[in-house]
Amino acid sequence: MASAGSGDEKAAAAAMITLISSDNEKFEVTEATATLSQTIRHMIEDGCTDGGVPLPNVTSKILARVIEYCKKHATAAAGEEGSSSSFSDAAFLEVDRAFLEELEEFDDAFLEVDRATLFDLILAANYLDIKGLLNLTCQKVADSVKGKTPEQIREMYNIVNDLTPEEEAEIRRETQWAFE
Amino acid sequence: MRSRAVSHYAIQIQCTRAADPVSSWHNRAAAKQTTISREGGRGPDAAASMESTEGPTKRQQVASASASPYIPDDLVRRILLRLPSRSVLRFRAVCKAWLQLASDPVFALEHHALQPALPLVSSLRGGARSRNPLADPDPDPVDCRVEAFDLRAGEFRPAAVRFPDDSGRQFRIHGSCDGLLLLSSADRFFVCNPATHQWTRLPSPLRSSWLAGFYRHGPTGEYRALFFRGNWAGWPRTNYYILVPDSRKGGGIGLPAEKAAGYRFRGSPLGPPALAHGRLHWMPRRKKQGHKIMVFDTATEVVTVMDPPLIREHMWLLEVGGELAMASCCGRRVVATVELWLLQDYANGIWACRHSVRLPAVEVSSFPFDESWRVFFMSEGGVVVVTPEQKLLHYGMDGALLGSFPCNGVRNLKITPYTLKESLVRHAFFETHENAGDRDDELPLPFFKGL
Repeated sequence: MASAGSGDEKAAAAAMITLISSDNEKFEVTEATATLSQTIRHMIEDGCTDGGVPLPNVTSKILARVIEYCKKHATAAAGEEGSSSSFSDAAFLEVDRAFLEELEEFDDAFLEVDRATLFDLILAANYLDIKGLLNLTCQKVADSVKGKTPEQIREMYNIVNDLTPEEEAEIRRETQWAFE
Repeated sequence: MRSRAVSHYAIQIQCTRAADPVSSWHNRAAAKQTTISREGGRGPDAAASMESTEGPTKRQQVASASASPYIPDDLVRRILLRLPSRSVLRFRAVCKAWLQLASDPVFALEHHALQPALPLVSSLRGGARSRNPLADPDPDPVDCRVEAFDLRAGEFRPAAVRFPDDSGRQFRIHGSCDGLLLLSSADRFFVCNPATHQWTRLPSPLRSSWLAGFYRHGPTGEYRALFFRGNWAGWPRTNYYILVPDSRKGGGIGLPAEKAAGYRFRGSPLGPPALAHGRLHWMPRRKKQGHKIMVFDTATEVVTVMDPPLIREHMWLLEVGGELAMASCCGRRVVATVELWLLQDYANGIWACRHSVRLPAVEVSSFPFDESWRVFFMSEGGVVVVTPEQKLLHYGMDGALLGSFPCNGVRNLKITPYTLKESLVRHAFFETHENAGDRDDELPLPFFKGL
C-alpha cells in the first residue's frame, strides 16, 4: 500500500496529501483541499498522513466527486477569509457576487446525481466531516422529499412501518391537516 | 438478525435491512456495537480521529445503484432538521424511529434555529362581483390568507393563517416571535402557532390599549405582550403593561425611563418592533415627534432610547443576523434606492450602511406606506417588492432581478412587517388550553380553516 517513492517525494510535495479510496485508487490533493474535511484535518494535525490517507469507507467514484467539491470550495474558502459571510464590504460585493453565483451554479450541477450517489455523498461527507457538503446534500434530500407522503418515504428508503395501527392513527388524528 | 456487514469499512456496525421484521432505525443499542475492522491497518489514534465526526452511529453500507439507500439515524435527523414543519409532522408517521427523532424537544429547538425567517405576505382571494347579483345571490366569498414566502425556494409555504370572510370578523396580525403569531379579532388577542395549528387566548387588554410588542421574557421563559395606553396628547399619561397568554399574570410596568440623555419619549411606539440583543426596538417617530429609537429590554422590562443612523421618508427596523438593522427608501410610487444600515457596534451605537441597492425603476403597488402593511421587504436575502400587477419581484443586493413571482387570482397583495420562523417547540400554554375544555363559550376560531 505504502508504495515506493513516497519518502523521497515528501519534501517536494509538502503541501500535497494522498488520499486512498476503498478500491485502492490514489488521489493527490493540496492540503487546503483536503482540510475541508475535519477528519483529514485532524489526521494531518496528528501527523498520521505519511504514506497517504486510507479512506476505506469511500469508493474512488465517490471520492473523485468529493475532491471535485473540495477543490472548488477550498478556493472559495480562501477568498472568503476575513470577510464575514453575508456582509462583505460594498467594494468586494461585485467580485463576491460573481464568485458566489458561480459557486451556487457549481453546487446545483454537482447535486445532479441519482439518489444512490447522493446518499453515498452524504455518507462520505458525514464520514469525512465536511460540513458544507453535508449540509448541501442533506438539504437536497430534504427538498426532494418534503412533499412526499409517509408511504412514499417508506417505499423510497425501504423502511418498515413498525408503528401499530393505533399509533399511526393517533399521529394522523393529531395533525390531520399535515397529511392533506 | 440479518446484517449486511461490509468488511472494508473502518468502523463497522451491525445493521439490519429495513426489510427485517425488527427495524433497527432507533435501536441505539445495536448501533453501539461497533467493531474496528481488520483492514483499516491504522492505529487507535487514527480510528479515534475518524470517530471525531458527529454522532456515534457510523452504520454504513455500500449503496449500489440498484439498492435503496439506507440512512443512519443521525443523517435522518439532519434531513428532518431541514424540512418544513408540515413535512416533519407528517413524517412522524413513517416509523417509530422517525417519530422519536421528530418528537424530541431538542430536535424542535434545533429545527426552529435552522428555519429561515420568511416574510409574511397577505392577499385577498375571491370576492368577485357577480355581473348579475339577482341570478347569483351567493357571490364568491372573500378569503384573506397570510402566507410565508420562501425566498430560497421561490415559493409560498402553505398558508400560515387564513381569515375567511364568512367568520364576519376582522383579524389583524400584531406580532411574531419564535414562530408564534399574535393576532387580534375585535378586542380579543390570540397567540397561535401556524406550524402546529395551536392557539390560545390572551387576557383581555384594558380599554384604549394598543399592542407595542410581543416577546419572550428571558428570566421566566414566558411569552408576553406589551401594551400601552394613554391619551394622544402626551407621554405623561402613557402607561405600559404586560399580558401573558392563557394566564392571569401580567401587570403594569409604569412609565418608560424617559429621562435618558435629557430626552423625553413622546407618544407611542411606532410600528412593529425589531428584536436584537434581547431588546425590542421601535423606529423613531418622525418630524415633531423626536428622532430616537425606543428600546425595551425584554429581560429587565425597562425602556430606554437610542439614536437612528438617519431619518428618511420610509424606514423600518429589522433584525439581520442577530444585529439591529434599518432599511430605508425614498420615493412614493417608484422606489429607486434602498439602503440597509447595520448597527455594527451595538454598545457604542455605531451604524454602517451595508447595502445601497439601486433598483430598476419599479413601480411599486399603490398602497400607501404605513406601519401595518408594506409593499416592500428587505433582509440579507435581498429586496422583495410588490408590483401593481400583483407580482412579487425579488432583487439581489446588487439590484439584479433574482425572481419574479406572479400571484394569480389575488388582490391586495401586501407584505406584512412580520416574518415567521416556523417552530415545532411545544408550549405549556397551548397544552393547558387544549386540555382545559373550558372554552366552550367561544366561537371556534377559523385561523387555520381549510389549511
